[in-house]
Amino acid sequence: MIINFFYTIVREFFSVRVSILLSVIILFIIALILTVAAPLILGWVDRKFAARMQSRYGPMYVGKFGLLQNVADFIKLLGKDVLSNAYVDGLAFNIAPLLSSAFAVAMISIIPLGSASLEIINLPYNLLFIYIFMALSPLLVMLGGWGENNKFALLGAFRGTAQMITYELSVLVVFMSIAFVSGSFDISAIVLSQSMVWNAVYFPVLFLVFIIGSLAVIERAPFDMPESSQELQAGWRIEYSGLRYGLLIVGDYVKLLVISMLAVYLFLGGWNGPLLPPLAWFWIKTAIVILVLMSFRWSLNRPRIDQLLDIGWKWLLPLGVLNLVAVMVLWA
Amino acid sequence: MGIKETLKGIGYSIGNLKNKPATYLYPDKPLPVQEKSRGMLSLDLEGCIGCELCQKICPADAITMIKIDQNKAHFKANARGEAPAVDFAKCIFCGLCVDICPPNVLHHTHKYDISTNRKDDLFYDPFRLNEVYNEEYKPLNLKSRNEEEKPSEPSTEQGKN
Amino acid sequence: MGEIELNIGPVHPATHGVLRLKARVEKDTVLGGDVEIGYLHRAMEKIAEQRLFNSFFPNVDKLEYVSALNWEILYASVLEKALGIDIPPRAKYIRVILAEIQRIMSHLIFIGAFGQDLGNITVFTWALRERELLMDIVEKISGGRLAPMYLRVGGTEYDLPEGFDSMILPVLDRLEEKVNKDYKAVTYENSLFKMRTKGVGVLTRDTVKKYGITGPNMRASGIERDLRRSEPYFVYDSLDFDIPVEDAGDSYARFMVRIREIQESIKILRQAVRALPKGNYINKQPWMFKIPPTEAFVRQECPRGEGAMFLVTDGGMKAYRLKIRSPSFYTVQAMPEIIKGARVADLFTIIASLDPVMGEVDR
Repeated sequence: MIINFFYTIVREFFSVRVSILLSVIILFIIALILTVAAPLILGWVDRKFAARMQSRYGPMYVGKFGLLQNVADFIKLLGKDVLSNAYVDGLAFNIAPLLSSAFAVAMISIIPLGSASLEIINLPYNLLFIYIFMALSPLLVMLGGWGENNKFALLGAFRGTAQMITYELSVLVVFMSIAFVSGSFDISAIVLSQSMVWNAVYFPVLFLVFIIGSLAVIERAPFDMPESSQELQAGWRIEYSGLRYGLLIVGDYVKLLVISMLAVYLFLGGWNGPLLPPLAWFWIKTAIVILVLMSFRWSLNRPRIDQLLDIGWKWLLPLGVLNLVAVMVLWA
Repeated sequence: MGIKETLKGIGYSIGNLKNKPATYLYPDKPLPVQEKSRGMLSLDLEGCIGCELCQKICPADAITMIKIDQNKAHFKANARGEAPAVDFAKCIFCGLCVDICPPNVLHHTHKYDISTNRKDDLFYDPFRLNEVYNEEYKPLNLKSRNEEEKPSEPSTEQGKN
Repeated sequence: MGEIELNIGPVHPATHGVLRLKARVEKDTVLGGDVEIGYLHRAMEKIAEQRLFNSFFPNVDKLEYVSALNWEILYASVLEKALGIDIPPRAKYIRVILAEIQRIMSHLIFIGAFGQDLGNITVFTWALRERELLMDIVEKISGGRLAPMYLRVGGTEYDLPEGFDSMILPVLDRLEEKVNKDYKAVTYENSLFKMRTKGVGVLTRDTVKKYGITGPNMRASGIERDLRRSEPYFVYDSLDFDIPVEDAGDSYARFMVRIREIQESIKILRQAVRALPKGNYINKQPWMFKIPPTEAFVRQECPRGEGAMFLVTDGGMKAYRLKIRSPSFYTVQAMPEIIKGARVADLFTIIASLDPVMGEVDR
C-alpha cells in the first residue's frame, strides 16, 4: 500500500497526526496526477488508433508523434468562455462534472495499479467500492440533464439513465459471481485465486456479459446513444463547455481505464504470468484490452436506444443470472 | 447473433492499420497537379486577333475587351486593336474561353493560388496576362491543341456540320 | 408530455444538405411532419434562358454535385436531339464509361454517409478513400474534380488519355474487393446494422406510384424498371448486366440495391472498356449555334432515378425554356408519408437511405 510507504517516511520527521495529514495530501496529489494523465495518454492512443484504422494520420505536429495534442486541447478547454444560459440550476449544473472527476480520482485511489500491494489506499472490499463509484453515474447524468434547463438535454438524460441502470444490473451480477467463486471482494485475493487457471476459461459467457455491460455503463460507443454526436448533438452534455466539458471527458477516460483493469483482474489472471515481472504482465494485458475496447467504437454503428435496452433486459441480465445460479449450484 | 460478422468487421478495421494512410500531411512544396487542370489563365498577346469570342462565351461575364496600343502589344494581326482582360473575381475556371479561342492563344496554367490583398488586383489586363504566359505557361511545355493528333479514321456517322 | 415539434433544421450534419424537416413527435414516435426545401435555389432554369447553349455547361455540373458527368451527358443529349445530330460510336462508349464511373462514385458517397449517420465513422473514410481513386481518373480525363467540363455537343472535348484501360482496371479490382469484403463485414452483413435498418421506413408500391419516385428507391420496393433496359440509349442494349430488385421496401433493401448496382456497374465498365472502338470522339458543331423552333425531351438513368430535361427553343441562340426534372425532388416530397410511425432515431436512417442531394432538389 503506497500510503503506508509514505507514512513510514514522513513519520521520521513529524508527529502522528501531522504525518497522517501529510501522507494523505501527498497521496491525493499522486491520485490527481494519475487521473489527469489517464485521459492524456489514453486520448492520444484513441485518436491515433482511430486515425490509422481510417487510413489517415491522426495528431502529428504537436510534440513528437502528436503526443502533446491532448495537453494542448486541455489547455484550450481551460481558456474557453463559459457559456450557459441564464436559467441553469447553479448547483446541479456545476456539480455533475465535479462529481464525475471526483469519482474518477476515488476509483484510481483504491484500485491496485499493477501488482499485489500497489494501490494507494487499501480497502478489503475493493470491488464493491469501485462498483459503487461507477453505479452513481446515473445520478450524475440526471443532475447534469436537469441542471441544464434544456428540454432536449433532459430527454437525453432520461435515455442515459435508463441505459446505465439496465446494464449496471448485469455488471453487478457478474461481480457477485466472481466474488462467489473467489471467496472475497478483494481484488488481490481474486487475482490470487486465478494463479492456476484464468477465470475467463471457466466463465466465457460472464466475460462477454461483463464486456458488453461495462461498455454500456460508461456510455462508450457503440453504446453512446444518449450522447450520439451525429444525431442528437451531444445529448445531455449539450450545454457543457470549457473546463466542465473537460472534466466530463476526464471521467470518461478514467472509467475506460478502470473497466479494462477490472477485466484483467477479474477474468484474465491479473498479474500472473510465467517469466516477466507481474507489473509488466499486468500492463501488457491491460493495453491489449484497452485497444480491443477502443476498436469497438470505430468499427461498429450504434443500436437504437430501445434495441439497446432490449439487449440489456432480454439477453444480458437473464444470461448473467443464469450463470450466477449455475455458479452457486456447482461451486457449493 | 451475428458475432462472427461483428468480429470480422472489427478485424478489417484493425487490419487497416498495416496499410499506409491515404491522406497527405500538409506539404511544404505544392503537390503536382494533373496536366489538364484548369488554373489561372494566360494570354499570348502577340497572337491575339481580337475576335471577342471569349467574351461572348464566358458564362460568368468575366472577360472584357480592352483597346490596346498596337505598337506596345506587337500584334501580328489584330484588326480591332483590342485584347481580353480577365477579372479573376468572377472567373469560374470553366475553360470555355480556352477551348473556343481560334488562334489558340488563351491557355490555362497550373497556378491556383492567386489571392491578393485588394480586390482590384484581381483584374488582370492583357499585359499582365502576357506576363503570366511568359512566367507560368511556357515553362510547362504542354502540348497545345493545334498539335494534338487528329483521329486517323474518319467517323462512320454522317453528321450535319 | 404531449406533442413536440422537432425541428431538424437546415444546418445539421446529418441531413445531406440543406433540408428542413419539421416533425411532430410524441414520446419517441413521429406522427407526421413537413418538409421545407428551397434553401439552395439558384434559379438554374431561369439562367438557362440567358446563357448561350454552350455557356450553360458549367451550371449543369453543379446540379448534382456528387455525380456531375451524368447531368452533363443529359444536357448534351438533349441539345443533340434538338439539333437532330448523331454522335460517333466512340463517343457513345465514352459516355457510358463516364456515366457508370460517376454512378459508382455517387453510391460510394451514399455508403459513407449512411454509415456515418448510424454512428460508424470509419466507413465514411473508407468510402471516400475508394472514391479518390476514381476521382483521380476523372481528373486525369477532364481536368476537374467537381466540375469536369468534359462534354460538348456531339461528343466530348478531348479524347480519353492513353493507357486508360491500365488506369481503370486495377481500380475496379480493388473496388470489387473492398465492396465484397470490407464493406460487407461492417455494413450489410453486420447484425447491428441490420437491427438498425430492417423494417425501417417502408416505402410501399402505392406511395412510389403516387409520387413518381424512380431509381434505386423504386427498385427496392419491388418494381423492376430501369431506363437502361426499357429504353436503351447509347450502347446499353449491347452490354450484359442485371437489374437489382428487392421486395421489402425498407432501408436495408435500399442499401442492398445500391450495393448491387455498384457491382453491376463494375461489370458494365469492364465490358465497355474492352469494347471501346477507335475513331472520332466528337462530331464537331460550331460553338455558337442556333436551334430552329422545336421541343426535345430526353430522359436517362441518373444515380438517383430518372433524370430528364425538356428543351423548348425559338430559333435563337439561347433556350426559350429548359425544364430539369430531378429525381430527388419527388423522393423528398414523399418523406412526410414515409416517416409516419417511425421513431425519432430512425428519422436519420430514413433520410440517409432515400439519398437526396439538395443541389438537384432545389436547382
